[in-house]
Amino acid sequence: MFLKRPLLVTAMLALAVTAIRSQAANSDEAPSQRPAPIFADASADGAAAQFKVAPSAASPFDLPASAPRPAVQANTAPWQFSAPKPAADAPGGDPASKSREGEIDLTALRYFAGQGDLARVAAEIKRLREKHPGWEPPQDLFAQSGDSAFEKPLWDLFAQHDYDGVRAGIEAIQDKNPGWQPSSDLTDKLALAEANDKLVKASDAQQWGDVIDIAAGNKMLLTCADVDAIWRTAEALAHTDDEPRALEAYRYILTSCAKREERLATVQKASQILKSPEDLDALLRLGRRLPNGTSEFESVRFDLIRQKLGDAAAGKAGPEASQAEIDALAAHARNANDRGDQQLLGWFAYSRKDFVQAENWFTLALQPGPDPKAAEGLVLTLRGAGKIADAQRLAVQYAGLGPLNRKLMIEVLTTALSDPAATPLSPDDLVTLSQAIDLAKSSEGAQLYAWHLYNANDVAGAADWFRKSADWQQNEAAAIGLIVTAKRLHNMRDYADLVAKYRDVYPKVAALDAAMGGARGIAALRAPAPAQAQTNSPVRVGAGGGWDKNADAIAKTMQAGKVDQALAMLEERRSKGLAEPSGLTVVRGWALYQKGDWEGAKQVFAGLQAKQQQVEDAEFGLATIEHAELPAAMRR
Amino acid sequence: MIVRSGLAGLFVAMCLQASPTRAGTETQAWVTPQRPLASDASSSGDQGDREANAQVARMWFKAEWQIYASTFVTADGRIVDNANGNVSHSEGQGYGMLLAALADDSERFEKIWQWTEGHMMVRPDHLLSWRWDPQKGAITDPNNASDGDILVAWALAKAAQRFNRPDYRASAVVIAGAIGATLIKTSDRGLILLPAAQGFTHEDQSDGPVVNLSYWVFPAFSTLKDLAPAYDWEALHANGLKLLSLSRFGPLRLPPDWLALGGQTPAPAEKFPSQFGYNAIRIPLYLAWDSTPPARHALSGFVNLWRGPRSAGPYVIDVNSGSAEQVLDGAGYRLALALARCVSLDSPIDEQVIKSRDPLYYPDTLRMLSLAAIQERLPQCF
Repeated sequence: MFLKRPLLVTAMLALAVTAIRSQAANSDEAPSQRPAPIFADASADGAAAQFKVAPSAASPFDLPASAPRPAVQANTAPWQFSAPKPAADAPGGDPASKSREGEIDLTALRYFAGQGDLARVAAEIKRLREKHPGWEPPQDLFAQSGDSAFEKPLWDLFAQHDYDGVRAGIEAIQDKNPGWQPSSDLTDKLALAEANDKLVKASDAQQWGDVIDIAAGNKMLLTCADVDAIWRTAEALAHTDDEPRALEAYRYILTSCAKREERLATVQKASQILKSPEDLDALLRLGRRLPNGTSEFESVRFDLIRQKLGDAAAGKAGPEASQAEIDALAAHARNANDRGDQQLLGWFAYSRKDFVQAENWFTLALQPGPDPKAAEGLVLTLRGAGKIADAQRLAVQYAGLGPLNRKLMIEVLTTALSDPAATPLSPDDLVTLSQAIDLAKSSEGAQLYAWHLYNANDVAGAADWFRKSADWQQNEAAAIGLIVTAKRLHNMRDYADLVAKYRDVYPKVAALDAAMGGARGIAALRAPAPAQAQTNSPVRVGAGGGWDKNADAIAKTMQAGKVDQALAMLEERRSKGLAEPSGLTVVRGWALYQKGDWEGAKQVFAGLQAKQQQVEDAEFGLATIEHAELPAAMRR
Repeated sequence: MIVRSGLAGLFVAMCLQASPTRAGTETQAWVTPQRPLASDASSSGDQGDREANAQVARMWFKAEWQIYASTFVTADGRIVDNANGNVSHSEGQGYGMLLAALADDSERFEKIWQWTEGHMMVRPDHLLSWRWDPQKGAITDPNNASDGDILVAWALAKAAQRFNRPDYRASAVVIAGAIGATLIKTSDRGLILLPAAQGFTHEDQSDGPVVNLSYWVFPAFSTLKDLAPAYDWEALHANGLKLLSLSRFGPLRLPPDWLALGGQTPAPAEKFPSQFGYNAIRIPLYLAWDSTPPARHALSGFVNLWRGPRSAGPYVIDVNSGSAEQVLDGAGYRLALALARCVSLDSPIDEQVIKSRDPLYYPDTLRMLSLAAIQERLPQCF
C-alpha cells in the first residue's frame, strides 16, 4: 500500500509550481503579455476587437492570421493600438458588490481560488463576511479555472517542458473521467509552448518560411515573455527580405519589454540582421536614458563601431563605419583614455595606410607604459611610413615585451641587413639582433643574418648561422648558404655531403652544384659580394687574352667600393660603343646590385647565364639576389 | 496469488502491538504499528500489489468492523446514534447491515436485520419507518427515509449472496419494489427519488418537489435494478448525476443538502438551510464508491473540499455565499473526501486519515463506509 507515495511529493511540487505560476502571472507587466504586432490583423473582430489596429498604423506587414488572444487588458495604450477599452466589464457581481470589491482585499480569496482550495476559499469568505457584513463574494472565483485539482500534475509536466507528457496526461484523466476538459489556461499555454517548440526547430533548421507561418498563427508567442521567439521571427523576416517587419519586431521589444539584458541583446542581434544602418540607428535611438545621462545603448553603439573598425582593420568585409562613428569612438578613446580603443583606432588607421593617425594613436596608447600590441603597431607604422631608423630603434627597444615583438624586431632589422638601400645597422643593433635571433630560434632571421655576415666576408660566422638556421627549421636559403660557405672554406667533404643531402630536396642546389662545376675547385668560386670578391680575384676582362686597361680601371674602381663611379665608367664605355667583356658585365651586375637595383642586376646575370658566359658568377649573382629578396617576401 | 498463510496472523499481531515489528524472514514485510505494507510483500507487479492491497484492506476493514460494532451495535442488533439521544434510524440500520454483510459477519447481520424488521417494517407499503426512539421504545416518525430503504435492500441483497440466504433476497426484492412503486416519480426534471413517501412533492413544498441527492445511493443502483427490474434505475442514476451537475451554487459551485426542483432552475430548497452539509458530504463518498465513469466525472467538483491533514476544513458551507460555517469535525468526513481525491486524482490517502476513528456514530459510519468501498472496489486507495 502507499504505492503512490511519490505522487504526494509530485502533487506538492505541482502545488508550489501553481503558486509560482499564479504569482508570476500577477506580476507580469501588462504590456509584456501583449503580442508583438508584427502580424497585425487588418480586420478587427472577435477577440481582436479588443486590440483594434489604429487606422494610422496601416502597416506594411499585414498577414492574415488568427486573432490574438490577449491575456490581460492593459490600461495604457501601446504605440500601435488605439486605446483599448475592456470589451466587457469584469464578470461577476452587481455594480454594488463590484464597488465593494474595490475596497475589500480579495487577494487571499483569489489566491486560494487559484489554488482550487475550496476549504480555504470558504474560510476566507467567512472571514470577509464577518468583517464586511452584507458583502457578497464574486461568483466567478472558479469560472475559468476548470477542475484545477486534476491539472496540478499536468502543470508539473508543463513546467518540465514535457508537452507530450501533458497531452498524454490529459487523455489519461479523460479516460478515467469522461467529459472532463482541461482548463483553457492549460490548453492555451500548451498550444503556445508546442508552437514555440516548432518555431525554434524551424528557426534552427533555417526554414524561415515555416518560422513566419508559425509565428503568424500563434501571435501570443510574440510577447516580452519570450523575446527569443520574436528574435527568431525577426531573423526569419530579414532572411525573406522583409526587413521592415523585422525592424518592427525589434522595435516592439525596445518599446514594450523591460529586461535590460534582453534589450541590449536585441540591439546586438538587430545589428547583425538588419542591413540598413538607418534602421539600426532608429533602434539605437530607442535606448532609455540612464541615470548618468547616457543612453542604455551607448555601449552597444560603441561595440558596433568597434566591430566595424576591427573587421576593417583585419581586412574582413562588412559594413563600414561612418566618419561620425569613427569620430565618436575617437572622442571616447581620448576622453575615457581607453587604451583598447586607442589601439583599435591605430590599427584601423594602419590598415588604411594612414600612418600619421596610426602613429598618433599607438603613441597615445603607449603613454601609460609599454604594451606589446601597441608597440608592435607603432613599429609597423613607422616602417610603413618609411621611418626605418625609428622603426629599428623602437623594434629593438620593445623586443623584450613579447615573442611577437621579438619576431618583429628580427624582421625589421634583417630587412635592413639585406636591403642595400637601408641604413646600415650599428654594431650594437647587430648584437641585439643576433641575441634576439638566438632567443627566438628564428630560422629565417638566422639565415638572413648569416647572409649579412657572408657578405661582410665573415664566412665562418656565416656558416655558423646557416647551421643554426637549418637546425631550427630546414630551409633552402640556409642549405645554399651552407653549401656556399663550405666551398669557400674549402670543406669539400662538407660540400659534397651537403649537396648530396639537399640536391633532391631543393632543385636549386642541384643547379648551383652544376653551375659551380661540382669538383672544379674553389678557384672557380666567386664571392657573391663583389667588392670583396674582386679584391681576391681580379677580373679578367681581356677578350683576346690581352689587358683591357679601361676594363681594368673599372674593376679597380669597383674594388675600391666606388660603385657609382664604376657604373658611370661602364656607361661611358658603353656610350663609346666599346665592347663589354663578359667579366666586365659581371662587374656591372654587382654594381647594380650594390645600388639596390636588384632587378637590373638580375637581368645582367640572367643575360650572362643565357649566353653561357661567366656562368659561375652569373649563378652566384642570381642566387644572391634571390636570397636578398627574401625579406621582402617576409614582409608580404 | 499473493496471500501468504501468515499474513492474517501477522495483521492481527500488528493491530495488537504498539511498536513496529520486523518479520523474521526477507520475504516478510516491514510493518508499521497498525498497517501492513502489503505492497512490499508482493513481487508480482501492479496486479499483485493491487491484490495484496485488497487482501489487506479487507482484513483491515473486518478488524475495524469489530471495533465499530462493539461501539455502536447493541447486542440485539440496534445501531445507536450516540449524537442524537441514542435514537436509531433506518439509515443507521441499513449502514449496519451493509457493513456486517461486507465484513462477512453473518451473525451480527442477522441480529441487525431482525431488529430492523421487527421494529421498523411497520408500514403497509413495505418501506421502513425511519426513526425509533429508545426513550419511548417505539417508532416516533412513521414516515420512511429513502436512503434507509435503499441501504437495507442493498445490504439484504449482498447478505443473501454471501451467506446463501434466499430469504434475505426475498425481503430485498420486496423493499426494492416498494421503493420503485412509492418513491420513484417522474417530474418536469426527469425521474426522481423522493426523500420520503410523505412531504416532499410539489403539493407539500411550495418549491417542490424537493430531493436529497445524498439519498441517491449510487453504488446500490445496479443491485436495485437486479432486485426490481420493473423500474428504470439506470435512468434514475443518470438523472441524479444530471441534477447534481445542475445544482452547483454560489462561488464554490456546491450542491445543497436539499434541492428544490419546482422552479425554473434547480435551487436550494427554501425550507431547509441552504447548506452543503452533513447530508451532501455523502455524495462524493457514494460517487467514489460507484466509480462508474459518469460518477467519477461528477466527483471532480468535490475533490478540493479538503486537501489533506495540513489543509483547512472540511466545512459545512453555505452554498449561496460560499462561506464556511462549522467545521465538519470527524475522521469520517475527512476520509470520505480523501477517498474522493484518491479516486479522482490518484492522490494517496494519508495514513493518519485512514487510522483515525471517531467517537460519534455518524462520522465513524462514514469512515467505515469509506473503508468498505476501498476494500470492495478501490484497493488502490488503501
